[in-house]
Amino acid sequence: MTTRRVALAGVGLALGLALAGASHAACSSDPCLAASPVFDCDRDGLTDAEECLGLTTAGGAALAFPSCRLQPSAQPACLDPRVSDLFVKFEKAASSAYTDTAAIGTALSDAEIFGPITQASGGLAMRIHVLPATVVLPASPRNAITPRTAALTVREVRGSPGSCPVTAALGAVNGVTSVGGAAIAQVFTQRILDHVNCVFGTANASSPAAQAEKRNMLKHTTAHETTHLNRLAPESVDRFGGHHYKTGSGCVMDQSSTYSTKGGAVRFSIPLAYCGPDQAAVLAGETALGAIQCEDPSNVLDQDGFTNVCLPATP
Amino acid sequence: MTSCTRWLLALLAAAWLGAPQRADAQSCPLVVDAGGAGHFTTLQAAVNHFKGALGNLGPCTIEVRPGVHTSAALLDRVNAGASSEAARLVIRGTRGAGGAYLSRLATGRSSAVVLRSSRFVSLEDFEVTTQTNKPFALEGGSKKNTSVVIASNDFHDNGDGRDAGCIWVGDGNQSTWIVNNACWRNGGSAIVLGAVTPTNFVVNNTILGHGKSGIVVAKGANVTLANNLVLFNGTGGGAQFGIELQTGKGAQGDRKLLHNVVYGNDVGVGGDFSGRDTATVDAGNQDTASLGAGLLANDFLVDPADGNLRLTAGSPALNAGIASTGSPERVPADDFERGVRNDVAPDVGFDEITDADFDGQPDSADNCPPGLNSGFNPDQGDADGDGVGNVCDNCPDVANPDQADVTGFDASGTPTGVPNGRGDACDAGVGETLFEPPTGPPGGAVFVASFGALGETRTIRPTCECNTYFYCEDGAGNELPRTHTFCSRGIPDDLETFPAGTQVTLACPLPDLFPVPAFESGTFTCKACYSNEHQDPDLQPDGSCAAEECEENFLGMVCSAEQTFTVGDTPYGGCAPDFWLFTNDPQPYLDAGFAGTEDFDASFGVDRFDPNRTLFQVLFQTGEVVDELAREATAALLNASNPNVHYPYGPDAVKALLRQGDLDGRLGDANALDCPIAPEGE
Repeated sequence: MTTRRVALAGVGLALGLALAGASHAACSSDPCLAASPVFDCDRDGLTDAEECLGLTTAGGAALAFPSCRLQPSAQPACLDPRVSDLFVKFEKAASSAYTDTAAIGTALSDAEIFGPITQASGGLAMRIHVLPATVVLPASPRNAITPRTAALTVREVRGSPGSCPVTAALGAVNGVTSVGGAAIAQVFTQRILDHVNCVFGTANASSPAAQAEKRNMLKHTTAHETTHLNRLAPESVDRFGGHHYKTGSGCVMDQSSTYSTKGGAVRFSIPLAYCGPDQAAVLAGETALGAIQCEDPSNVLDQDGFTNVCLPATP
Repeated sequence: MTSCTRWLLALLAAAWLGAPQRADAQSCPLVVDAGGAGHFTTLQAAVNHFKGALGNLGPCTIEVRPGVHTSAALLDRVNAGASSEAARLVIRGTRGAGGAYLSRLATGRSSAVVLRSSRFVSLEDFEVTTQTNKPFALEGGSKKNTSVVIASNDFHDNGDGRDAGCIWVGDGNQSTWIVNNACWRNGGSAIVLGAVTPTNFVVNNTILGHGKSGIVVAKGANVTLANNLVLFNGTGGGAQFGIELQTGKGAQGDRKLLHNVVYGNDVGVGGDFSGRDTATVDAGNQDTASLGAGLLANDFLVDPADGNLRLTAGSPALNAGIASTGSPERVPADDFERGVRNDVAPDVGFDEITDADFDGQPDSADNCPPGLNSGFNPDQGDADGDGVGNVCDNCPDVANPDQADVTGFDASGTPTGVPNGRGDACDAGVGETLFEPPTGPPGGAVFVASFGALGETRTIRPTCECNTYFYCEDGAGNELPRTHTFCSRGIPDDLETFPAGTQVTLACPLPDLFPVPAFESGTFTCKACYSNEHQDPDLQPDGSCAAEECEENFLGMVCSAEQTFTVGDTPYGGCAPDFWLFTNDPQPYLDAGFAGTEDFDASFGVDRFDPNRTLFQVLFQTGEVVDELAREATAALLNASNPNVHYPYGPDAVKALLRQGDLDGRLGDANALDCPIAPEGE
């Protein structure tokens, strides 16, 4: 048997092409023809009817999300039944590192921060609806957008500058594996800045290269922790610390990021692309752990009050 | 009388005379068995029954049992009243293990099956061989068919008739779907498509080694050709092509070329394509020019000479297809053996290689067992050359094809007798112990683990947050959810060299590791693992170094033996050093199994004091220099050894924390808890 490694480049290209403009494989016909209230074509917890007609959340703040079919101009805030929607309550710190131009050079917009998730090529092609930290969401079910869908909580923990080296975690998700509810993704942004500063050294900490790595690490860590709440990297692998790929695989969900200072040259490896089964799982609308975004009523640990099961994609 | 006319008469005779055997009232499904074990002995007889007794309207299935079927069938106006998929007639052969074709159509004459003026009929899962021309023929013009599906058939070694070596589709046939078929080593052009307005689809077929062209499309045809693997056709002389879009005056037709791999067809005379510039869509196609010359058929397929047309590792057809299922391309959801096309992008050709971890390597050739993210290793690196990829090798730098892992070692070097995740062939680096887990309320529990360097080890220091993992199961064997953390580590900054015998002890609060509610009452089994995946970026997958030097640090994971414990409600307690110093009651010492006169160093297994001191002397330290750690550790050891205290740490954990220096002051904190053995009022 002959194996030609040269073909791998072509394979990678094909993967990238296939994802551009991807929609759910489960949706073989236009879900808005019937706009069913009992099917969820893209398995994101919103029914086809809700996404085809638009919805306004009940309780707390009445958030309106129009249908992309009815208001195409509302992109990207609108809902499309063939594109997974992700609602993120983004709690930035009062003095946020994401917009600290002194530290990172250029401020990061929300779209840029979540870009690794939303991007069509190399990403998950999901649509993220960023909700401000001040939005009031229902307490029960906790953070509900609909009876089956919760908004994720992504929290920036800035803290005070620390000393070198930084050995603590840069991001964390408490161990509740539900999508939203009680689970919180934390991004320790000051540690990220400190870490890059430490690696580059005081003299070069404000260099464009260092600032670029800080921006990358902020984006990477935010995407990584947010994606844990989406049940991606669906297999728990002990030797990779859980739902991760091996460090160095070049995936957002790698166990950790790395750097090298060999020979005095700083080289960071901070993946901003998804790989492995993650993209396929989003296309299929679910992972081995369940639907991408739909809440899991059988998870009693999350204590979030969701009781409705996920809906099937099609009849 | 021409041979064609004779053949037609023979077919008509079969149609008139092929009466069903003991099948007058037979309903669907109908079974054809050449040996007489079914309802009919010929396909023609079953079709006639369907047309007559069953009213000529599906849905219905005709199952053709294993065997060689030597009589042809004419499907004339079959299912003519059908108007939707719901009324489809499926005529299906039998498949065996590994996708083997068991129902062979081999008449030795022209067509095996002719469809005429029929609707919504499928022909699936047949091996078709020895035919001399148009093995499957869809007549055209006034006899055109509608919505015929020809799927997952294996056409080979048919003759070199002038019209087609596999499938011939006459003018006017509409909504024909030719999918997942293998056509190989036939004489004529494999698939020939006539002019038609409603679109026909030729998708995911493998077409190899024909005397003439692979796919021929008439001028004026509306056809989508997608995901077809068309290799090395045109062996019979004259200018032949892989895909030939015939051209001429007038409209050429809507002919789409999508993600076909067309290679090595009649090189130098014909070529991979003819009329390509007339295609209305030309996207994602690969050919000899784009792939480069020099590839052989076995660079695409497993064993083409022997008819094994499955895709081989590294085949350019892997993941190269367009993924759009349903309309408009009608890419199938499965392959020729009903294997799900579950990849991000489907493979090109009739076979879909399963690639469970989406790393581009077929499971059958993946050097890490197919999984999900556990086996994702696109580079297939195998530094030690033992056939097991670096990503999943339990000993990545020492060849151990058997991956044997009989035992690990605890932190003191004693074999545990249970696997530790690290192969025995290289198990000389780090030993590990999880000390007795606490049995009180989980919110106040702390896991204590030691990792010992059995030999000199260069690696990244274990820490609670980043590279030490505690894995627990409940009494039912369910893994408890953990808190995921994400860190960044570097080479060489974070590497340390640990001399042989070094122990690193960690005390990690349970609430930092797990959601506390997961531990509500019950029995749990836990282990402590140290995992370092950080290697020199200059170290290549094959083990070579891209720089002058590379760090060869300890990689992989080792896990302690498991500890089982029961979580209870009894609150933790602890008694301060002064309690143990001033108590006049001998019972607490007796319960702990210690006397105050025992030697401190001997009790803890250290060499801390010279001259030696007793436990009581350590508790009774005065003066300017007091060894507070030793004092707290002495009280801690007595607390941990006294069954009435319910101390949060066991004796071994106390000793390990002392040796580590107890940098977080955990022993002092525990000693400050309520002392349950103190007389009331103290």
